[in-house]
Amino acid sequence: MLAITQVKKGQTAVMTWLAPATDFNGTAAGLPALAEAHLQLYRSLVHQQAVPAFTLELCRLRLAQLHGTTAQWLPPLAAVEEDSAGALRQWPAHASFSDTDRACLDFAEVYAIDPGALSDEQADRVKVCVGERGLVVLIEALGVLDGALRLGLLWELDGEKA
Amino acid sequence: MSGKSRVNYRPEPSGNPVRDSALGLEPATLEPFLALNNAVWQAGPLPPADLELARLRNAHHVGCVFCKNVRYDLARADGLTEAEAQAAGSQRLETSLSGRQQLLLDYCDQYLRDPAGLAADLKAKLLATFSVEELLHLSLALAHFNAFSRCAVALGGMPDDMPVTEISLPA
Repeated sequence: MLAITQVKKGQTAVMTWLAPATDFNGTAAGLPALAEAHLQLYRSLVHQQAVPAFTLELCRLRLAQLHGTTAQWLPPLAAVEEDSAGALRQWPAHASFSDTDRACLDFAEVYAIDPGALSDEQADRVKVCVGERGLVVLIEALGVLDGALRLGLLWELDGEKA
Repeated sequence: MSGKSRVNYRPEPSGNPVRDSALGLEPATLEPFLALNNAVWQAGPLPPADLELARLRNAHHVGCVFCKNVRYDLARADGLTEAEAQAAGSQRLETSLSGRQQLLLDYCDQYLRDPAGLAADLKAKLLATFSVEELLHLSLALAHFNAFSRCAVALGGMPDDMPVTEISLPA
């Protein structure tokens, strides 16, 4: 739920429960060094070369679905066409997705619920597609993305609970 | 939980446990990860003892044996007792914890279990007890601790148990 505060006669400001802002940068402005460190790690997911950024973006969108959010405040890692994004709930059977996408989405779904429930076979399927380095990047990326989504919900960024 | 390590990375030991772990395989993410880890412990207003309580609460929630059984030396130096460290992993209301510490753990539980469900009365208590900067620090630290624990579990190779071990912040 957004809090709307009267700041001047005739003017209103929209804010989260923590700060007079609705985005990550504005909300975390009180801790710029720590916020920037988080953003640097987030940006590094685009620059690594072990897993296609497109695949990581599909995982971000799927995690957001599982969290029940759109997380529009979070910058995308890659462009995903509307058709692919719309088909994401049917990824196991939909022709839009590559073997790499499927292996990573399968891993991401179980990770979101309980990383202790991931099987060696699921990890092996990811490694067949992107190697050991890719598995490490995927696991790191899922942690970063899941954390960002949780922060957005907890802080109520962009009216997440509206 | 798999006891088999899913990544076989054996670099020449550098003395930095994160750099020497599977995370060392990807340089593009390793350096930002290390920078974030240091920022979590050093670039916010919460003292290390508070951060350690949050880290341990998360570790128990995720079930990471490594994370549950390590203790940061800087948190102990800041005054965190082993009784408090143990209490952070308990779901009972612990008399060994202060009201402030218990409230901190309540916020951790909210992040870990239902980040969208923060109730108005808990918000009010948090804002009456912690500064906004402290709550931001706690939130960002939790996001990092949770990602790290989940990473350790997902990589496999987790032992069934290990002794409590003191560690330092990786350089």
